[in-house]
Amino acid sequence: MIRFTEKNLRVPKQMRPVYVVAGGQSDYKKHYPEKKTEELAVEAFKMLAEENNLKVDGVLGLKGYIQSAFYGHFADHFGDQLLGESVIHDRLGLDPMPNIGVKTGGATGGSTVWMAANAIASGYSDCTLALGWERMDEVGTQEGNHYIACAADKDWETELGHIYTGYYALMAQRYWKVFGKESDAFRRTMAKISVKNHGYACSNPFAQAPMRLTVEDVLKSPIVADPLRFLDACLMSAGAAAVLLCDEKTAHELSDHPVRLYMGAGTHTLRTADRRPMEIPLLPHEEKDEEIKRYYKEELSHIDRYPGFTGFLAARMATYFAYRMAGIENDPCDELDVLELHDAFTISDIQTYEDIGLRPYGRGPEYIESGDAFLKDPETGKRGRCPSNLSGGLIGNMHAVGATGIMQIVEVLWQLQGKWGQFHADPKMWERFGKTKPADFEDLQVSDAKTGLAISHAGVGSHVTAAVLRKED
Amino acid sequence: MKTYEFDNMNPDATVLRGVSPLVVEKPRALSHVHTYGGESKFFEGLTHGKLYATRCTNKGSGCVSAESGEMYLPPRVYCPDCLERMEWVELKNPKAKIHTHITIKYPGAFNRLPLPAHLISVEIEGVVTIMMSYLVGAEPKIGMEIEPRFNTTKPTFSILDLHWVPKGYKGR
Ligand SMILES: [Zn+2]
Repeated sequence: MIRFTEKNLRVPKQMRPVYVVAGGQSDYKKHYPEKKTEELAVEAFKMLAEENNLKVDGVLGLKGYIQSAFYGHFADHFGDQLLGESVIHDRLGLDPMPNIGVKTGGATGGSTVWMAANAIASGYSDCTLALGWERMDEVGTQEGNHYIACAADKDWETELGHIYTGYYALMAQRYWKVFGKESDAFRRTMAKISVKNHGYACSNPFAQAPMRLTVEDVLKSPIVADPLRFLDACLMSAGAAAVLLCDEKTAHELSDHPVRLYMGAGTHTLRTADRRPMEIPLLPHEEKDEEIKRYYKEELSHIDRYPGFTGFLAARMATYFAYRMAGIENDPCDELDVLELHDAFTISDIQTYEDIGLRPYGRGPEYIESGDAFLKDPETGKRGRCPSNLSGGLIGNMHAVGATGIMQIVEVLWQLQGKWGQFHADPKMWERFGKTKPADFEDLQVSDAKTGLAISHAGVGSHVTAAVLRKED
Repeated sequence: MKTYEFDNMNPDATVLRGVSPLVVEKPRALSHVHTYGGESKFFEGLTHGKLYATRCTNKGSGCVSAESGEMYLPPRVYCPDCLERMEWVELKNPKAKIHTHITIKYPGAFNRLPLPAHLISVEIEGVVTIMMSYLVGAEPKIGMEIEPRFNTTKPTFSILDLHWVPKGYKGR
């Protein structure tokens, strides 16, 4: 669709407020043979029930509240199990309460929470569980790449190399040439994202790939598909994550610090080939900004077609709706205190900065270069305006696909609740996962964080959800 | 690691990878019978050296695709706007250039492309979409003018039966 009506663009409504109340996660590993997927899911749920200061008596007390469950699992063939939702639901002991599986590729986690949120907003349930998982360690790398490539169009794309990274890199290459001008400076900006996210992972006991890197390390890592290198790419992981959503009354009954949740979603064609040109749908702050509107109309439209291969329309639509639902009307960098973004690749992270309005289209690298993206700018030491991926993101922490979007919401929840330290700083949390809290551990709690955003993203932009979380006054 | 004999139809099928935790490998070979349906004309066309696109002829209906007259490649059986059946159009000597490109050295399992493979996205005059394909005979560059080649002798009956070469290129 390229022509919208007012009905298409109506701001989505929650019939009653939705709250995120608790979160839990397993740790994340590339290979996890010592635990079955079901065990990882149970561990995430137990953390949710027992370690979020809920005013109930542990697992049994909490189960007395849960009326429905939403499960996110990307790939049946990776799991080698159809109806895996039923397996997990049984191991959690939640039968015969209803459950349903949600699948939207890389955005599965976000979409799962979106569906759960709608169940609360509609009044269907007062308390619901959203839990996601993935394990990608049961096939070899080549088979794994084929499995992932099955999420491209099988007749028109998958046959071309059976490698998703290639389809992604086609977009990256276009952005790199058109907006990055193939410059060393732009390449270094990309590398800084990997350095940042692997670095933040060093203070996350759940994380799979903590690394202290330099820009040169990233630039010297093996090429995956030029200009993308090994250290520009996300991880493949096994793990699980869970959140609990409630209506207002139940949220306050269970927790002293529930957080409001607003969710928007968007999609775009599975085949990048089919992305027809259109006008840029404007975010609220862009609508008020004559200079941005002039720039889009008079300059950007002559540089490349929109959304073409350089913008993710699904991410634009998800925030188009979510910002309006949540009343985010000004520069998102001023309104958002903490972000978890879907950094599948460093370059797609930059593209997303533009889709979600952190910078205008074509100027994404400025979000990194300005220092806004850091809790503390490594060059100036100044606090950034809206730091992203303090968990380490998909590059440093994990990409256990069905769990990823849920992990992001859990991390933002704990930040807004001021509980980041409770789950990351306690040496016992590190020991639980067979690790030692590192000497260079950094406190990554964002002080006074009030509003956060999590972006969950699929394919080369086929599905995106945007979750705005806001602490109550 | 000790080798075990397994009492099943194919004793070589299961391989012990480790114990405590127990990990076993379960190899398998499957076949899938694939249906091209209404898109058969395109894939059969490639094997005859023909490139087909589609366009909407539902003019005056408010359909954006019909009004613009632009073609779709990948072709579609039904118009994405008005959902009327589209008309097949053969693209003869298409004017095409590279929109973006990438080189693959490490493909996934089941790859049949010769390596390294230059994946390209192809802009074609009169076509609103930018299809994915591959380039032979040169290093790709954005904006490079290209022309199609077809695998008519030993077809794979897949999108691999179409590739592109630089404009005026003498070889296959
Ligand atoms: Zn039509």
